[in-house]
Amino acid sequence: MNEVGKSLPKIDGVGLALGRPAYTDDLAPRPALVVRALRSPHAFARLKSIDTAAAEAIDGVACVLTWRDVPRVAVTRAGQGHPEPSPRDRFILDEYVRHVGDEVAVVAADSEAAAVAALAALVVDYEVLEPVLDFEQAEDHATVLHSEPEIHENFPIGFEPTRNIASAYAMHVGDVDKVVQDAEVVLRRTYYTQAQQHVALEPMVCATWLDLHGRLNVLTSTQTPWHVRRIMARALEMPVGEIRVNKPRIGGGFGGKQMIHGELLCGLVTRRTGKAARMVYSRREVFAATNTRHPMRMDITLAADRGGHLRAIDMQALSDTGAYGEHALTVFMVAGAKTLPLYNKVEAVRFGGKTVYTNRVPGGAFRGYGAIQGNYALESALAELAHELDLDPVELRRMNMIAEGETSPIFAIMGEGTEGVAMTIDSCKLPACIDRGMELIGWGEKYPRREAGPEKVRGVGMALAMQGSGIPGIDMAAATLKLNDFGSFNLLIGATDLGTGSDTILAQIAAETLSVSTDLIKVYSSDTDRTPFDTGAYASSTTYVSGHAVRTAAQKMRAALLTEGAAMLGCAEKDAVFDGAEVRGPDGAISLEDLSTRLLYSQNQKQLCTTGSHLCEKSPPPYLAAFAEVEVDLGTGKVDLIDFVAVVDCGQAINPNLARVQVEGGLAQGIGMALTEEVRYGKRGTLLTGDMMTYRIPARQDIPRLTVELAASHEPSGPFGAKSVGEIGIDTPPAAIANAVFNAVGVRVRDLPLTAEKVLMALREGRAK
Amino acid sequence: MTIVFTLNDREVTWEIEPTETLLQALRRNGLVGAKEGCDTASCGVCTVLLDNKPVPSCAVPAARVDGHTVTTVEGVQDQARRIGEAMAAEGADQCGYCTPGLVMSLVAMEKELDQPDDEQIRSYLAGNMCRCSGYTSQMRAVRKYLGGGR
Amino acid sequence: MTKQLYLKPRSAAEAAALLAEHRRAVIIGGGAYVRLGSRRIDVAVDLYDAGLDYVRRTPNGLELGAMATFRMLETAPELQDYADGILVRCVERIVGVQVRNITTVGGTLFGRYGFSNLITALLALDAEVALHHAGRMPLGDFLATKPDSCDLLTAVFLPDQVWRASWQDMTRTVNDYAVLNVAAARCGDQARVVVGARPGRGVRCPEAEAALLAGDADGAAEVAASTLEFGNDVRAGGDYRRELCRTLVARATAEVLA
Ligand SMILES: Cc1cc2nc3c(=O)[nH]c(=O)nc-3n(C[C@H](O)[C@H](O)[C@H](O)COP(=O)(O)OP(=O)(O)OC[C@H]3O[C@@H](n4cnc5c(N)ncnc54)[C@H](O)[C@@H]3O)c2cc1C
Ligand code: FES
Ligand code: FES
Repeated sequence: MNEVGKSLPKIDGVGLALGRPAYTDDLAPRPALVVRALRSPHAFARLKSIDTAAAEAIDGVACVLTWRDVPRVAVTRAGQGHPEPSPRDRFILDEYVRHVGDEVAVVAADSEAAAVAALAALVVDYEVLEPVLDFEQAEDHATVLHSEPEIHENFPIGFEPTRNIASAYAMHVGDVDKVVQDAEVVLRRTYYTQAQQHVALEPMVCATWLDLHGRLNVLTSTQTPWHVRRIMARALEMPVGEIRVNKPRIGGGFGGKQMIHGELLCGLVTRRTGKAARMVYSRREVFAATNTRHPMRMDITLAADRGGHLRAIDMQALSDTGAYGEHALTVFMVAGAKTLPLYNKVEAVRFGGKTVYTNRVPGGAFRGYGAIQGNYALESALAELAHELDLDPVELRRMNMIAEGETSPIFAIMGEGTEGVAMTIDSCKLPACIDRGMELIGWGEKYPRREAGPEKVRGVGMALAMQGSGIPGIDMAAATLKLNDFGSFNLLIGATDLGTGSDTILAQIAAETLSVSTDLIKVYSSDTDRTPFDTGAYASSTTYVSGHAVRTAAQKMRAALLTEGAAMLGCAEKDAVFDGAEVRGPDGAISLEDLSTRLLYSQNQKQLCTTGSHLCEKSPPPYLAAFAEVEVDLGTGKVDLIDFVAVVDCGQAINPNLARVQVEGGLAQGIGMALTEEVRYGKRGTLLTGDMMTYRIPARQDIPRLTVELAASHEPSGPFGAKSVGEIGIDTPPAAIANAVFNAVGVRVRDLPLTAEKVLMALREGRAK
Repeated sequence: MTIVFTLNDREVTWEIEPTETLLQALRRNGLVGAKEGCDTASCGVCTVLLDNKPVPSCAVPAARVDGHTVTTVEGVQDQARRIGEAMAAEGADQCGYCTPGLVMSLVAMEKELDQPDDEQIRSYLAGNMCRCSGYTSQMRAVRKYLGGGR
Repeated sequence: MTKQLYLKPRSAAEAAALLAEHRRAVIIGGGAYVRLGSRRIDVAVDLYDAGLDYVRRTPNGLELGAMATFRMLETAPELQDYADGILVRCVERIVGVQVRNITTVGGTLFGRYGFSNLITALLALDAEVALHHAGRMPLGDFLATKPDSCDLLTAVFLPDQVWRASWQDMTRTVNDYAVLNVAAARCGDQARVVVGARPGRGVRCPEAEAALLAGDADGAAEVAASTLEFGNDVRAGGDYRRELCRTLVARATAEVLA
């Protein structure tokens, strides 16, 4: 292979370093109305009245919208396929506000100053209601968040809004209770994971305007242009064909931009005023009014024999979806679906629980998507079991984990929101990942702990992870290749590059298939008018699903080049070959440059254009073995990360550098979740961590060392053997670090994050006992 | 109000609002290399040089730069290209939103520190947050740039 | 709306005159915190060009201009060894070079921030502040008074003393605000133990200072933890801060005694 498997530079890297206009706000049309939302100071309130007269009278104010001025259509902002597995429990604006930061009204004005003045001039009479702030009290709480008659589920997801339940789910294989009853060893533990914020450095930004034809154009920082278009059409009551959505470069997404944010408000402003509009979220708005990771409580029961053979796993979870049910069911299901199959030797397995509404910032998609919550609980519990059985935790994993050629009944039972698809694991290099990881961290010498100076102890811990590659039966992607004169190609793809480099790797796949060099492939992506469809960048689908579509388009292009080349050479197609540079027949050759130019200008004139589309049929999991080394300060409880080793089986890496950075970036976010990141609320539901000074993501020195390696692997069903790599990096740090801290100082913190405060207080309690 | 200052080696005269930040003024005038990330001086994506020192332009009043010197990524394109290439070679550039700010800090660091070690580099660049890369690849790229870039 | 003014005096005297003229004027030091506040500013008096950005040696010690930035403290040759370099230590991890290039000594002291590292360190070194109207006074006295928003802080003075000193703090991520900060210093029969970010502002703990003088680091830690007040905020709880105080005061005093 010439192009695939090479660490080519990302095609947009230098342009972005130069600071060229590339992101939504750089490119948004000017002048444009400044759109700003008035946000609720209350966790739960009814809007008794909103007096807009003073705001409307301000010079430069173009429009003020309240819930009375918007179409009454229930939607979900989840940004998922159609019909969505999330409840349609939202309106563009509503009579109720359900979390601090929820939208009360919207103003649009000629200038920032006028917009700010208009916000200040709005007079709102709130009827403040009792909020639900504790998700463990939410079910059947006296306060019901959603009683709107229009809201509904698209298909059964266990939606019971009158009981504050957004979704419910249960599955089992075998008789868990019976196995637990008979088992020699039973371990029961409860773990809590917190709300985490994506903190993509570019906030949510969108711009809307009407083009020459009066169509609504939307430029937006999104992961899901087609879902944005479809949901906007529904919410604004207009035909899908009248909307064009285009995603330029985005400054990070991580799932946060799968959801729809300002697009509905901005679009409505443009529809009402006929003017271009622009909405840029402040960082505070990103924290208060977008989405977080769903916090969960996980009750785990493990049954095993004394030798460490797992016999049953029971995972019961409660998930907090905040004020709206975005991704309520699917994130919940993934907590089980992308963790439990790792240990497929069990006789029985059970998973279930509910996702409830509270008056907090809504939950949503976030890299890891439930798997990180499930992974933290399961991989912590396994470590606790190993400790009880006095077994090396690595051995316990080895004894019980899934292997190549095996399957798990869970694959068929659990999909994302629906049933899954049965599959056999054709690639799983976990044994090699574990061996290499142990070597890199120095497990033999370091496990479990070493003194590291006065009041400092170091420990190592580990965890395994799996994820998926796209959603089978749902994720669909398409790509079109167009031949240009002088031998270059346009690759038009629906796939959404969030800064992950997918434009680059998809170009590499096209180039490899065509045997040309990647720089001949000119990529244009994510434009609902100009590129073919793609469900979007989520569920670790881009390489695996979109990559397939690109490969198919390129194979077709290759065949078309042969046909046309042979015709020009006057030979039979079967006697011609194409090597990327020329089509060669028995008696001569024609260069790609020449062939493409003649095709457009002088001979057999036609446009060669091929399209491939691909529906995801299975979702082969990538795997990862993680090893953390930490140093705990016994006097302060501070946990310093010394090294984090991750060895990944992502199939054949299309671009090893970019694959590795995906893992490194995921690890860093997972480390943040493990140690410092936490969305916190005050007593009345106010957000205490509403900016980057209070919500702390890791800085450079907090992550001194990440050691990532890619295991040699090949997934037969993937394009050139590839599986996904975008999410899996994030899954293991919480468990691996928690396990390392336990091994270092004997303290088991079961609620994330593992702050110095929790560690020290636990240490002091232990000493007091 | 009117301000006169040196922007990327050229004297310019701008009309600004007294309440505007330097970042807002720059972007309004088409210099979009500096970006807004946090608005609380916490992330570094708005970094520019004021009198040759890196500052968060989101926290500098535009009026302050009257009579002073401002350098943005648009004014250091050669270095930005070399840094961008080093980053791309390591796959360190992800969404790229943090890159121009990082470029500005690096440009300042090169002037200020002689042969910095990893610890000094990390500490000098600490104010440049990156949410995509996990920093490790950026460090590889920075070392490469410093080693071969001069 | 009145027209907003942005004024840039060329000296402290000119700044004081402008403040006298515009009673509602707001002084801009680094501007980092003024910007974070949402109050409307009609008249801004920016000290950037007022010539107060210096660190210098005087016959009686050291003088830090009000507009000396944290980065200047960090890199000033005069401060590398003064009091075992704790003025460098206390600022060098704050956010990043960018922020330290704008945040100022004057803005920090005038803001009287509870979390402030610099206040804690300066209190331990018997710093004095100079105000344009109110004149020169110990930093502790200045902090105890109600801020007069019309007065101008011009400089900070450090005595010509050879302090043995130690800086200790604890942050969640490396460049976060301190969950607790501690400065300890000793010079002859003078000892200082200051604990800040409790989350309340740095205060001296005389009992701990006595223990330090007596050479008892653990005693200093105990008494500081048991006598000072600690509270909750988004960064940590009061109980944890108390435990942390024990550790950090023990470490700081032990280092001073070493
Ligand atoms: C993101 C961020 C993180 C930070 N983290 C930390 C940290 O971890 N630890 C820490 O200790 N500090 C931290 N700080 C605070 C910083 O150190 C400064 O204390 C703060 O920014 C104020 O300094 P300034 O020069 O910006 O003051 P300004 O914002 O300019 O002014 C603050 C106040 O003082 C007044 N003022 C300014 N100068 C004078 C003067 N000469 N005379 C009279 N009044 C004056 C102003 O009118 C205003 O009321 C942080 C700041 C930011 C922005
Ligand atoms: S936007 Fe200025 S530091 Fe973040
Ligand atoms: S590359 Fe996205 S924030 Fe750094």
